[in-house]
Amino acid sequence: MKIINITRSPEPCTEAGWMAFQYYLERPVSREFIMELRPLGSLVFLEMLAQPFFKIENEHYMIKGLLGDGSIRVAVHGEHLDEQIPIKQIIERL
Amino acid sequence: MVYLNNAATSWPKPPSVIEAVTVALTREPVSALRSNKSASDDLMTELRQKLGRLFHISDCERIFFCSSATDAFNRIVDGLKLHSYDYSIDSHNSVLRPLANKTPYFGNATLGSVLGRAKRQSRAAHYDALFLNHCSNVTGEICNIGLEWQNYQIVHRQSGNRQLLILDVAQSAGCIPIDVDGWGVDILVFTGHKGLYGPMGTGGYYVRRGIDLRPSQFGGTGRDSSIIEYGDGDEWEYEIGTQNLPGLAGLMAGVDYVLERGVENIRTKELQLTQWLINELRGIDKVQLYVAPTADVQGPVASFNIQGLNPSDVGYILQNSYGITVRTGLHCSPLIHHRLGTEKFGTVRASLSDFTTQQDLQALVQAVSDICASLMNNE
Repeated sequence: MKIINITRSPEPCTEAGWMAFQYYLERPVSREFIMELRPLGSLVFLEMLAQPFFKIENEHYMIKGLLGDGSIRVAVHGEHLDEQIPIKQIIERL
Repeated sequence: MVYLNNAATSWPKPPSVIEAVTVALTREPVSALRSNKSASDDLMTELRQKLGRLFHISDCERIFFCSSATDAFNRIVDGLKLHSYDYSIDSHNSVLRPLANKTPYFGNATLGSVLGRAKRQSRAAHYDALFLNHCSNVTGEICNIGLEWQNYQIVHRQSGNRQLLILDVAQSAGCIPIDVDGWGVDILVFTGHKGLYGPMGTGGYYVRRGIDLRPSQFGGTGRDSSIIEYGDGDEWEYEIGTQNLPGLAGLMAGVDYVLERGVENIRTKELQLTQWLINELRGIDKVQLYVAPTADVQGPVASFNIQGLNPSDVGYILQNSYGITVRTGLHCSPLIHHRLGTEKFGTVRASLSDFTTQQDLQALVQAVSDICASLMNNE
């Protein structure tokens, strides 16, 4: 999955030490895409919503978004900003 | 779209507010006391009178305008010679941060269940102050001002200093009746862009005549321009620089709206809706509520969490999956979260205005029900 653009997210989480980014993707988020990300951390997938929500979380970062959206949010703890590199690599391999 | 973030800033604004700002920006500019036209002076005088009616301040000439409640509290903390102070645990950072960063003794504060307390010894200081928050922006709980003030005066009766009651009505102005003269409030701080429906960047404070509040900022006021250094006998001036007249014109239209609607009527409507929301949320499994203990002290704010999800995730889902705007986190009021046990992630907060409808709240309840049902389905 190609990442078209990355922007700093407006979500004000910096005071908790996290930096959030919005990753814009070439295709809408699919169920398969979510499942491919699963090895990155613990998965919460809420399907019974107006638009299903997913979150993948580990100690250093968090990925969340909605099924069918064209972007996902990636929040990385300030001390582990370099973790973005493998996240990007994994997404772009999908 | 459903907007339930009125404790941050109210939206929508009454159409009259938008019109007033537009008119103020469209007509030939006038600046307070700086031209031969009296329109700006009339506006500020009239707005003081209307705020005096709303807050029950007979000496409304002592209401001064500034950019926000935060601006006002910085001026107050800078300008008062404080010997000691207590403050509400549910205070906003607009109070806590000026106290913490401008007085050297905040770090020694002791936290009780309702109040924090900081003391120092200074020969120059001559005020003991109680900074009370009228309505929590987290739980919506309304403070019993008379009781807190009475208790404070009993504890400090031996101090020998003059005691000041400083009341923050940023969350309650326009939503809950306020009686400055009746309650014996010495200093009142308000913001214009919440329950008063004015534009952002408007606010102000009332200072009882005779209180020695040295201005922290000096500059042009349009009065007595020959004075450069203020001396004994010169009256302090608090509104310095060109005033935000378009903003104040909008604020006056907002205050007009509240006065015409009647703050009691707004209170009744918002309380009814808030109680309905609380009762509905209380009936949903996995929802933990953080609200006032009884309805009579409940303001138009309710916080909650959903077990198994961070508040930020709930807010993300509500915003992006349902188009419902709430606020999540600590809401700039960090200390009360230690009492609630929510200091790590905060809460989800829904806050109402006079424009909130039952349908808005039904949409929120449905969305929260969906989230909880989906979580239970995953278990």
